[in-house]
Amino acid sequence: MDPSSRGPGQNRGSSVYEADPPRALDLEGVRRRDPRALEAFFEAYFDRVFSLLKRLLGDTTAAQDAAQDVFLKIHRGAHQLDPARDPGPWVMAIATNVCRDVWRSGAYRFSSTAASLERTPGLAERLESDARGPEGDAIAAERARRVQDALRRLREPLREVVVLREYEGLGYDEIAAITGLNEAAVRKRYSRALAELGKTLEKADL
Amino acid sequence: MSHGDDELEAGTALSPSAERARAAMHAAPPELPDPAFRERLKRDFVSGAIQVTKGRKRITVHLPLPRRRPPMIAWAAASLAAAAALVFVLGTMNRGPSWWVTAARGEGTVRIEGQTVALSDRDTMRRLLVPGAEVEVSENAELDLCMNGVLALQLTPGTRMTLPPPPGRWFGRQTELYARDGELRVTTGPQFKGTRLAIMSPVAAVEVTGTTLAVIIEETGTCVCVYEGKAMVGRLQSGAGADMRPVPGGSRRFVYKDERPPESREIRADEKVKLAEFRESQRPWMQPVD
Repeated sequence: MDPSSRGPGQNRGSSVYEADPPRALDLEGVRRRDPRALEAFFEAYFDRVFSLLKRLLGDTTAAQDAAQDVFLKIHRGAHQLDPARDPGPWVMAIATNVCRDVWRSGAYRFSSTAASLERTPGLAERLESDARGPEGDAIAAERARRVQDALRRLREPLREVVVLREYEGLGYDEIAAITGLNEAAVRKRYSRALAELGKTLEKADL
Repeated sequence: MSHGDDELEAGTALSPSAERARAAMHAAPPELPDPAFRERLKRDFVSGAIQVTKGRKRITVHLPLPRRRPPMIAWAAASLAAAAALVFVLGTMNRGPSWWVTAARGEGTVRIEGQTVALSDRDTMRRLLVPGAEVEVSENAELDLCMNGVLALQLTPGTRMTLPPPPGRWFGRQTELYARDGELRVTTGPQFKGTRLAIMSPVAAVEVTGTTLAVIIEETGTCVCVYEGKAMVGRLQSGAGADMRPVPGGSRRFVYKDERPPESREIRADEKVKLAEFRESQRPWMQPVD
Protein backbone atom coordinates (compact mmCIF):
# COMPACT_ATOMS: atom_id res chain seq x y z
CA MET A 1 0.00 0.00 0.00
CA ASP A 2 1.13 3.53 -0.71
CA PRO A 3 2.15 4.99 2.65
CA SER A 4 0.64 8.35 1.73
CA SER A 5 -2.78 6.77 1.59
CA ARG A 6 -2.46 5.46 5.13
CA GLY A 7 -4.93 6.71 7.62
CA PRO A 8 -3.88 9.59 9.85
CA GLY A 9 -4.13 7.55 12.98
CA GLN A 10 -1.37 5.31 11.80
CA ASN A 11 0.80 8.01 10.34
CA ARG A 12 0.78 10.00 13.50
CA GLY A 13 1.34 6.97 15.64
CA SER A 14 -1.60 8.05 17.73
CA SER A 15 -3.63 4.92 17.17
CA VAL A 16 -4.55 3.10 20.32
CA TYR A 17 -2.84 -0.07 19.16
CA GLU A 18 -0.07 -1.13 16.91
CA ALA A 19 -1.66 -1.23 13.48
CA ASP A 20 1.21 -3.02 11.73
CA PRO A 21 0.55 -6.72 11.21
CA PRO A 22 1.73 -8.60 14.27
CA ARG A 23 4.94 -10.40 13.59
CA ALA A 24 5.72 -14.02 14.37
CA LEU A 25 2.09 -15.11 14.35
CA ASP A 26 1.81 -18.79 13.62
CA LEU A 27 -0.87 -18.54 10.95
CA GLU A 28 -0.42 -22.17 9.97
CA GLY A 29 -1.13 -23.02 13.59
CA VAL A 30 -4.22 -20.79 13.51
CA ARG A 31 -5.38 -22.64 10.40
CA ARG A 32 -5.02 -25.92 12.32
CA ARG A 33 -6.73 -24.35 15.37
CA ASP A 34 -3.64 -25.01 17.41
CA PRO A 35 -4.45 -23.64 20.91
CA ARG A 36 -1.18 -21.74 21.28
CA ALA A 37 -1.48 -20.14 17.87
CA LEU A 38 -5.10 -19.20 18.57
CA GLU A 39 -4.11 -17.59 21.85
CA ALA A 40 -1.39 -15.55 20.19
CA PHE A 41 -3.81 -14.55 17.43
CA PHE A 42 -6.37 -13.45 20.01
CA GLU A 43 -3.77 -11.41 21.89
CA ALA A 44 -2.70 -9.76 18.67
CA TYR A 45 -6.15 -8.74 17.48
CA PHE A 46 -8.64 -8.62 20.32
CA ASP A 47 -7.95 -5.08 21.54
CA ARG A 48 -8.03 -3.77 18.01
CA VAL A 49 -11.27 -5.56 17.23
CA PHE A 50 -12.94 -4.50 20.45
CA SER A 51 -11.93 -0.89 19.98
CA LEU A 52 -13.32 -0.88 16.46
CA LEU A 53 -16.56 -2.50 17.58
CA LYS A 54 -17.00 -0.14 20.50
CA ARG A 55 -16.52 2.90 18.28
CA LEU A 56 -18.78 1.59 15.57
CA LEU A 57 -21.54 0.41 17.90
CA GLY A 58 -21.09 2.98 20.65
CA ASP A 59 -22.07 0.61 23.42
CA THR A 60 -19.93 -1.69 25.54
CA THR A 61 -22.48 -4.49 25.80
CA ALA A 62 -23.15 -4.43 22.09
CA ALA A 63 -19.42 -4.38 21.42
CA GLN A 64 -18.90 -7.40 23.67
CA ASP A 65 -21.67 -9.34 21.95
CA ALA A 66 -20.24 -8.40 18.58
CA ALA A 67 -16.73 -9.36 19.67
CA GLN A 68 -18.00 -12.83 20.49
CA ASP A 69 -19.51 -13.08 17.04
CA VAL A 70 -16.31 -11.84 15.41
CA PHE A 71 -14.11 -14.40 17.13
CA LEU A 72 -16.65 -17.11 16.47
CA LYS A 73 -16.43 -16.29 12.76
CA ILE A 74 -12.65 -16.12 12.91
CA HIS A 75 -12.53 -19.55 14.52
CA ARG A 76 -14.92 -20.97 11.97
CA GLY A 77 -13.04 -19.48 9.04
CA ALA A 78 -9.51 -19.99 10.35
CA HIS A 79 -8.78 -22.70 7.80
CA GLN A 80 -9.34 -20.11 5.05
CA LEU A 81 -6.49 -17.92 6.32
CA ASP A 82 -3.73 -17.36 3.83
CA PRO A 83 -0.48 -17.66 5.84
CA ALA A 84 1.32 -15.57 3.23
CA ARG A 85 -0.86 -12.53 3.81
CA ASP A 86 -1.48 -10.11 6.66
CA PRO A 87 -4.65 -11.33 8.38
CA GLY A 88 -5.46 -7.81 9.66
CA PRO A 89 -7.76 -6.75 6.79
CA TRP A 90 -9.56 -10.09 6.99
CA VAL A 91 -10.19 -9.61 10.71
CA MET A 92 -11.28 -6.01 10.23
CA ALA A 93 -13.64 -7.04 7.43
CA ILE A 94 -15.25 -9.65 9.68
CA ALA A 95 -15.64 -7.07 12.46
CA THR A 96 -17.15 -4.54 10.08
CA ASN A 97 -19.60 -7.06 8.69
CA VAL A 98 -20.66 -8.08 12.18
CA CYS A 99 -21.33 -4.41 12.95
CA ARG A 100 -23.44 -4.10 9.82
CA ASP A 101 -25.47 -7.10 10.96
CA VAL A 102 -25.99 -5.38 14.31
CA TRP A 103 -27.01 -2.13 12.64
CA ARG A 104 -29.59 -3.97 10.59
CA SER A 105 -31.11 -5.62 13.66
CA GLY A 106 -34.27 -4.27 15.17
CA ALA A 107 -32.82 -4.35 18.66
CA TYR A 108 -30.08 -1.95 17.68
CA ARG A 109 -32.49 0.49 16.05
CA PHE A 110 -34.74 0.40 19.09
CA SER A 111 -31.95 1.09 21.55
CA SER A 112 -30.29 3.70 19.40
CA THR A 113 -31.48 6.90 20.99
CA ALA A 114 -30.30 10.40 20.35
CA ALA A 115 -27.13 11.14 22.17
CA SER A 116 -27.07 13.84 24.75
CA LEU A 117 -24.94 16.60 23.41
CA GLU A 118 -26.58 19.72 24.77
CA ARG A 119 -24.42 22.69 25.57
CA THR A 120 -23.06 22.90 29.05
CA PRO A 121 -21.91 26.37 30.11
CA GLY A 122 -18.13 26.44 30.56
CA LEU A 123 -17.64 22.86 29.38
CA ALA A 124 -15.44 23.79 26.47
CA GLU A 125 -12.99 25.59 28.72
CA ARG A 126 -12.89 22.70 31.17
CA LEU A 127 -12.42 20.07 28.45
CA GLU A 128 -9.54 22.00 26.97
CA SER A 129 -7.82 22.55 30.31
CA ASP A 130 -4.81 20.48 31.31
CA ALA A 131 -6.19 19.47 34.64
CA ARG A 132 -4.55 16.38 36.14
CA GLY A 133 -5.51 13.90 38.81
CA PRO A 134 -9.11 12.86 39.40
CA GLU A 135 -10.44 15.97 37.76
CA GLY A 136 -8.28 15.37 34.69
CA ASP A 137 -9.52 11.78 34.45
CA ALA A 138 -13.09 12.91 34.71
CA ILE A 139 -12.54 15.50 32.01
CA ALA A 140 -10.90 12.93 29.72
CA ALA A 141 -13.79 10.53 30.29
CA GLU A 142 -16.30 13.23 29.54
CA ARG A 143 -14.41 14.17 26.40
CA ALA A 144 -14.40 10.54 25.28
CA ARG A 145 -18.08 10.21 25.97
CA ARG A 146 -18.89 13.24 23.90
CA VAL A 147 -16.72 12.13 21.00
CA GLN A 148 -18.36 8.72 21.16
CA ASP A 149 -21.78 10.32 21.25
CA ALA A 150 -20.88 12.45 18.26
CA LEU A 151 -19.75 9.35 16.41
CA ARG A 152 -23.02 7.63 17.25
CA ARG A 153 -24.94 10.50 15.72
CA LEU A 154 -23.17 9.87 12.42
CA ARG A 155 -25.01 7.64 9.99
CA GLU A 156 -23.48 4.17 10.04
CA PRO A 157 -21.91 4.27 6.55
CA LEU A 158 -20.09 7.49 7.43
CA ARG A 159 -19.17 6.28 10.89
CA GLU A 160 -17.71 3.11 9.46
CA VAL A 161 -15.38 4.95 7.11
CA VAL A 162 -14.19 7.59 9.56
CA VAL A 163 -13.50 5.05 12.30
CA LEU A 164 -11.59 2.75 9.98
CA ARG A 165 -9.60 5.69 8.69
CA GLU A 166 -8.94 7.60 11.90
CA TYR A 167 -8.70 4.86 14.48
CA GLU A 168 -7.62 1.90 12.40
CA GLY A 169 -5.26 3.98 10.31
CA LEU A 170 -6.36 2.23 7.14
CA GLY A 171 -5.80 3.60 3.68
CA TYR A 172 -8.65 4.42 1.34
CA ASP A 173 -7.91 1.32 -0.71
CA GLU A 174 -8.05 -0.91 2.37
CA ILE A 175 -11.32 0.66 3.52
CA ALA A 176 -12.70 0.19 0.03
CA ALA A 177 -11.73 -3.49 0.14
CA ILE A 178 -13.38 -3.97 3.53
CA THR A 179 -16.56 -2.04 2.85
CA GLY A 180 -17.00 -3.08 -0.77
CA LEU A 181 -17.05 0.54 -1.97
CA ASN A 182 -14.78 2.13 -4.51
CA GLU A 183 -12.04 4.46 -3.34
CA ALA A 184 -13.80 7.61 -4.54
CA ALA A 185 -16.89 6.76 -2.52
CA VAL A 186 -14.72 6.09 0.52
CA ARG A 187 -13.06 9.48 0.20
CA LYS A 188 -16.41 11.17 -0.17
CA ARG A 189 -17.89 9.45 2.85
CA TYR A 190 -14.81 10.24 4.90
CA SER A 191 -15.05 13.88 3.98
CA ARG A 192 -18.73 14.05 4.84
CA ALA A 193 -18.18 12.20 8.07
CA LEU A 194 -15.52 14.65 9.21
CA ALA A 195 -17.67 17.61 8.27
CA GLU A 196 -20.69 16.30 10.16
CA LEU A 197 -18.58 15.28 13.11
CA GLY A 198 -16.99 18.73 13.24
CA LYS A 199 -20.39 20.40 13.29
CA THR A 200 -21.68 18.08 15.98
CA LEU A 201 -18.65 18.58 18.20
CA GLU A 202 -18.82 22.31 17.66
CA LYS A 203 -22.38 22.29 18.93
CA ALA A 204 -21.17 20.36 21.95
CA ASP A 205 -18.45 22.91 22.68
CA LEU A 206 -15.73 20.37 21.98
CA MET B 1 -17.80 17.65 -4.69
CA SER B 2 -17.71 19.59 -1.46
CA HIS B 3 -14.96 21.83 -0.27
CA GLY B 4 -13.78 19.13 2.11
CA ASP B 5 -13.51 16.64 -0.72
CA ASP B 6 -11.36 19.06 -2.71
CA GLU B 7 -9.01 19.33 0.20
CA LEU B 8 -8.77 15.60 0.56
CA GLU B 9 -8.24 15.02 -3.13
CA ALA B 10 -5.55 17.66 -3.22
CA GLY B 11 -3.98 16.31 -0.04
CA THR B 12 -4.06 19.78 1.50
CA ALA B 13 -5.12 20.77 5.02
CA LEU B 14 -8.63 19.99 6.14
CA SER B 15 -11.13 22.63 7.17
CA PRO B 16 -10.75 23.89 10.77
CA SER B 17 -13.95 22.10 11.70
CA ALA B 18 -12.75 18.79 10.26
CA GLU B 19 -9.36 19.22 11.90
CA ARG B 20 -11.06 19.84 15.24
CA ALA B 21 -13.10 16.69 14.75
CA ARG B 22 -10.01 14.63 14.06
CA ALA B 23 -8.16 16.16 16.98
CA ALA B 24 -11.07 15.39 19.28
CA MET B 25 -11.22 11.80 18.05
CA HIS B 26 -7.53 11.25 18.66
CA ALA B 27 -7.63 12.92 22.04
CA ALA B 28 -10.16 10.37 23.21
CA PRO B 29 -8.60 7.59 25.27
CA PRO B 30 -8.57 4.09 23.88
CA GLU B 31 -11.65 1.94 24.24
CA LEU B 32 -10.39 -0.76 26.50
CA PRO B 33 -12.33 -3.96 27.09
CA ASP B 34 -13.34 -5.34 30.43
CA PRO B 35 -10.42 -7.59 31.47
CA ALA B 36 -12.75 -10.34 32.72
CA PHE B 37 -14.64 -10.38 29.42
CA ARG B 38 -11.36 -10.40 27.53
CA GLU B 39 -10.07 -13.40 29.46
CA ARG B 40 -13.32 -15.33 29.11
CA LEU B 41 -13.50 -14.77 25.36
CA LYS B 42 -9.84 -15.70 24.97
CA ARG B 43 -10.44 -18.94 26.85
CA ASP B 44 -13.50 -19.68 24.73
CA PHE B 45 -11.69 -18.84 21.50
CA VAL B 46 -8.77 -21.11 22.30
CA SER B 47 -11.01 -23.98 23.37
CA GLY B 48 -13.40 -23.62 20.44
CA ALA B 49 -16.53 -23.27 22.62
CA ILE B 50 -17.62 -19.64 22.29
CA GLN B 51 -20.53 -18.09 24.15
CA VAL B 52 -22.62 -15.84 21.95
CA THR B 53 -25.78 -13.85 22.58
CA LYS B 54 -28.77 -14.70 20.41
CA GLY B 55 -31.60 -12.33 21.24
CA ARG B 56 -31.85 -12.48 25.01
CA LYS B 57 -30.35 -15.92 25.24
CA ARG B 58 -26.77 -16.79 25.78
CA ILE B 59 -25.71 -19.95 24.03
CA THR B 60 -22.42 -21.74 23.68
CA VAL B 61 -21.34 -22.62 20.20
CA HIS B 62 -19.02 -25.59 20.13
CA LEU B 63 -16.82 -25.32 17.13
CA PRO B 64 -15.64 -28.68 15.89
CA LEU B 65 -11.91 -28.78 15.66
CA PRO B 66 -10.89 -29.62 12.13
CA ARG B 67 -9.39 -32.98 11.53
CA ARG B 68 -5.72 -32.53 11.67
CA ARG B 69 -3.94 -33.73 8.63
CA PRO B 70 -0.92 -35.65 9.75
CA PRO B 71 2.30 -34.52 8.17
CA MET B 72 3.56 -36.47 5.18
CA ILE B 73 6.16 -38.28 7.25
CA ALA B 74 3.41 -39.55 9.54
CA TRP B 75 1.46 -40.74 6.52
CA ALA B 76 4.55 -42.48 5.17
CA ALA B 77 5.33 -44.07 8.53
CA ALA B 78 1.74 -45.21 8.96
CA SER B 79 1.71 -46.66 5.45
CA LEU B 80 4.98 -48.47 6.05
CA ALA B 81 3.75 -49.80 9.38
CA ALA B 82 0.50 -50.97 7.79
CA ALA B 83 2.39 -52.59 4.93
CA ALA B 84 4.78 -54.26 7.35
CA ALA B 85 1.87 -55.50 9.48
CA LEU B 86 0.12 -56.81 6.37
CA VAL B 87 3.27 -58.59 5.19
CA PHE B 88 3.74 -60.06 8.66
CA VAL B 89 0.14 -61.26 8.91
CA LEU B 90 0.08 -62.64 5.39
CA GLY B 91 3.50 -64.23 5.88
CA THR B 92 2.37 -65.85 9.10
CA MET B 93 -0.89 -67.08 7.61
CA ASN B 94 0.81 -68.22 4.42
CA ARG B 95 3.40 -70.27 6.28
CA GLY B 96 3.00 -74.00 5.85
CA PRO B 97 3.22 -76.60 8.61
CA SER B 98 6.52 -77.38 10.30
CA TRP B 99 8.65 -80.49 10.03
CA TRP B 100 8.38 -83.10 12.73
CA VAL B 101 9.67 -86.62 13.31
CA THR B 102 7.06 -89.32 12.74
CA ALA B 103 9.42 -92.26 13.19
CA ALA B 104 13.05 -92.89 14.09
CA ARG B 105 14.44 -96.38 13.77
CA GLY B 106 17.80 -97.91 14.63
CA GLU B 107 20.47 -97.26 17.24
CA GLY B 108 22.43 -94.57 15.49
CA THR B 109 22.27 -90.81 15.60
CA VAL B 110 21.35 -87.95 13.36
CA ARG B 111 23.45 -84.89 12.77
CA ILE B 112 21.42 -81.74 12.31
CA GLU B 113 23.34 -78.57 11.49
CA GLY B 114 26.49 -80.21 12.83
CA GLN B 115 24.88 -81.21 16.12
CA THR B 116 24.67 -84.94 16.86
CA VAL B 117 21.32 -85.93 18.33
CA ALA B 118 20.21 -89.34 19.59
CA LEU B 119 17.25 -90.75 17.74
CA SER B 120 15.32 -90.88 21.00
CA ASP B 121 15.72 -87.16 21.60
CA ARG B 122 12.67 -86.04 19.61
CA ASP B 123 12.43 -82.62 21.28
CA THR B 124 15.93 -81.62 20.24
CA MET B 125 15.37 -82.95 16.75
CA ARG B 126 12.15 -81.01 16.41
CA ARG B 127 13.86 -77.85 17.58
CA LEU B 128 16.72 -78.26 15.11
CA LEU B 129 14.66 -79.40 12.15
CA VAL B 130 14.10 -75.99 10.63
CA PRO B 131 13.94 -75.19 6.92
CA GLY B 132 17.40 -75.20 5.40
CA ALA B 133 18.88 -77.40 8.13
CA GLU B 134 21.55 -79.81 6.96
CA VAL B 135 20.51 -83.31 8.09
CA GLU B 136 22.73 -86.39 8.04
CA VAL B 137 21.52 -89.80 9.18
CA SER B 138 24.11 -92.27 10.46
CA GLU B 139 24.62 -95.71 8.92
CA ASN B 140 22.46 -97.57 11.42
CA ALA B 141 19.58 -95.11 11.67
CA GLU B 142 16.47 -94.25 9.70
CA LEU B 143 14.28 -91.17 10.06
CA ASP B 144 10.80 -90.29 8.86
CA LEU B 145 9.95 -86.61 8.72
CA CYS B 146 6.60 -85.16 7.96
CA MET B 147 5.08 -81.82 7.10
CA ASN B 148 1.43 -82.65 7.83
CA GLY B 149 -0.75 -82.99 4.77
CA VAL B 150 1.96 -81.69 2.48
CA LEU B 151 5.11 -83.74 2.31
CA ALA B 152 6.84 -86.66 4.03
CA LEU B 153 10.45 -87.75 3.74
CA GLN B 154 12.17 -90.98 4.63
CA LEU B 155 15.88 -90.65 5.21
CA THR B 156 17.54 -94.05 4.98
CA PRO B 157 20.95 -94.84 6.59
CA GLY B 158 23.72 -92.66 5.25
CA THR B 159 21.40 -90.02 3.73
CA ARG B 160 22.58 -86.45 3.75
CA MET B 161 20.30 -83.65 2.64
CA THR B 162 19.13 -80.10 3.23
CA LEU B 163 15.62 -79.80 4.64
CA PRO B 164 13.30 -77.88 2.32
CA PRO B 165 11.29 -74.96 3.61
CA PRO B 166 7.53 -75.50 3.75
CA PRO B 167 5.77 -74.16 0.67
CA GLY B 168 3.39 -71.26 1.22
CA ARG B 169 -0.34 -71.92 1.49
CA TRP B 170 -1.30 -69.34 -1.15
CA PHE B 171 1.90 -67.94 -2.64
CA GLY B 172 5.56 -68.87 -2.69
CA ARG B 173 4.54 -72.47 -3.38
CA GLN B 174 7.84 -73.67 -4.77
CA THR B 175 10.43 -75.28 -2.57
CA GLU B 176 13.77 -77.04 -3.03
CA LEU B 177 15.43 -80.06 -1.50
CA TYR B 178 19.12 -80.84 -1.86
CA ALA B 179 19.98 -84.54 -1.58
CA ARG B 180 23.74 -85.04 -1.31
CA ASP B 181 24.10 -88.69 -0.42
CA GLY B 182 22.17 -91.88 0.40
CA GLU B 183 18.59 -92.82 -0.40
CA LEU B 184 15.62 -90.56 0.13
CA ARG B 185 11.97 -91.40 -0.25
CA VAL B 186 9.40 -88.70 -0.83
CA THR B 187 5.63 -88.75 -0.78
CA THR B 188 3.22 -85.87 -1.14
CA GLY B 189 -0.10 -85.20 0.57
CA PRO B 190 -3.34 -83.58 -0.59
CA GLN B 191 -2.18 -80.11 0.43
CA PHE B 192 0.83 -80.41 -1.82
CA LYS B 193 -1.45 -79.69 -4.77
CA GLY B 194 -0.17 -76.68 -6.67
CA THR B 195 3.27 -76.89 -5.13
CA ARG B 196 6.43 -77.44 -7.11
CA LEU B 197 9.19 -79.36 -5.33
CA ALA B 198 12.57 -79.38 -6.98
CA ILE B 199 14.89 -82.15 -5.76
CA MET B 200 18.50 -81.82 -6.70
CA SER B 201 21.05 -84.57 -6.32
CA PRO B 202 24.71 -84.12 -7.29
CA VAL B 203 23.88 -85.09 -10.90
CA ALA B 204 20.09 -85.13 -11.31
CA ALA B 205 17.22 -82.65 -11.14
CA VAL B 206 13.74 -83.88 -10.25
CA GLU B 207 10.59 -81.84 -10.50
CA VAL B 208 7.78 -83.15 -8.32
CA THR B 209 4.17 -82.03 -8.61
CA GLY B 210 2.53 -84.83 -6.64
CA THR B 211 3.89 -88.31 -6.38
CA THR B 212 5.67 -90.93 -4.37
CA LEU B 213 9.24 -91.53 -5.39
CA ALA B 214 12.71 -92.40 -4.26
CA VAL B 215 15.92 -90.59 -5.05
CA ILE B 216 18.83 -92.97 -4.72
CA ILE B 217 22.30 -91.51 -4.96
CA GLU B 218 24.84 -94.08 -6.05
CA GLU B 219 28.51 -94.06 -7.04
CA THR B 220 27.80 -93.84 -10.75
CA GLY B 221 24.80 -91.55 -10.70
CA THR B 222 21.31 -90.91 -9.35
CA CYS B 223 18.33 -93.22 -9.74
CA VAL B 224 14.84 -91.74 -9.48
CA CYS B 225 12.19 -94.40 -8.86
CA VAL B 226 8.60 -93.23 -9.27
CA TYR B 227 6.01 -95.35 -7.47
CA GLU B 228 2.90 -93.39 -8.38
CA GLY B 229 2.07 -90.17 -10.16
CA LYS B 230 4.67 -88.61 -12.39
CA ALA B 231 7.93 -86.73 -12.01
CA MET B 232 10.17 -84.86 -14.41
CA VAL B 233 13.75 -86.08 -14.26
CA GLY B 234 16.80 -84.76 -16.05
CA ARG B 235 20.49 -84.02 -15.81
CA LEU B 236 21.55 -81.30 -13.43
CA GLN B 237 23.60 -78.74 -15.27
CA SER B 238 24.66 -75.53 -13.66
CA GLY B 239 21.89 -75.83 -11.09
CA ALA B 240 19.08 -76.19 -13.62
CA GLY B 241 17.49 -79.29 -15.05
CA ALA B 242 18.38 -80.35 -18.57
CA ASP B 243 17.01 -83.18 -20.69
CA MET B 244 13.99 -83.26 -18.44
CA ARG B 245 11.75 -86.21 -19.25
CA PRO B 246 8.54 -87.35 -17.61
CA VAL B 247 8.91 -90.49 -15.53
CA PRO B 248 5.53 -92.18 -14.91
CA GLY B 249 4.62 -94.33 -11.91
CA GLY B 250 6.18 -97.80 -11.96
CA SER B 251 9.32 -96.70 -13.74
CA ARG B 252 12.72 -95.21 -12.95
CA ARG B 253 15.31 -93.07 -14.63
CA PHE B 254 19.00 -93.25 -14.00
CA VAL B 255 21.06 -90.12 -14.54
CA TYR B 256 24.73 -90.98 -14.87
CA LYS B 257 27.51 -89.00 -13.35
CA ASP B 258 29.53 -89.28 -16.54
CA GLU B 259 28.59 -88.33 -20.08
CA ARG B 260 26.31 -91.32 -20.67
CA PRO B 261 22.72 -90.34 -21.40
CA PRO B 262 20.04 -91.03 -18.77
CA GLU B 263 18.37 -94.42 -18.94
CA SER B 264 14.70 -95.22 -18.25
CA ARG B 265 13.59 -98.64 -17.00
CA GLU B 266 10.92 -100.32 -14.92
CA ILE B 267 11.05 -99.66 -11.18
CA ARG B 268 12.88 -102.25 -9.12
CA ALA B 269 10.51 -104.56 -7.27
CA ASP B 270 12.14 -104.11 -3.87
CA GLU B 271 12.04 -100.33 -4.18
CA LYS B 272 8.41 -100.51 -5.20
CA VAL B 273 7.60 -102.36 -1.99
CA LYS B 274 9.57 -99.95 0.16
CA LEU B 275 7.85 -96.96 -1.43
CA ALA B 276 4.45 -98.55 -0.96
CA GLU B 277 5.21 -99.21 2.71
CA PHE B 278 6.47 -95.70 3.20
CA ARG B 279 3.41 -94.28 1.51
CA GLU B 280 1.15 -96.33 3.71
CA SER B 281 3.06 -95.46 6.89
CA GLN B 282 2.63 -91.75 6.25
CA ARG B 283 -1.05 -91.90 5.41
CA PRO B 284 -2.23 -90.85 8.92
CA TRP B 285 -0.40 -87.52 8.61
CA MET B 286 -1.16 -86.94 4.99
CA GLN B 287 -4.84 -86.23 5.58
CA PRO B 288 -5.99 -82.63 5.22
CA VAL B 289 -5.44 -80.82 8.52
CA ASP B 290 -7.09 -77.43 7.86
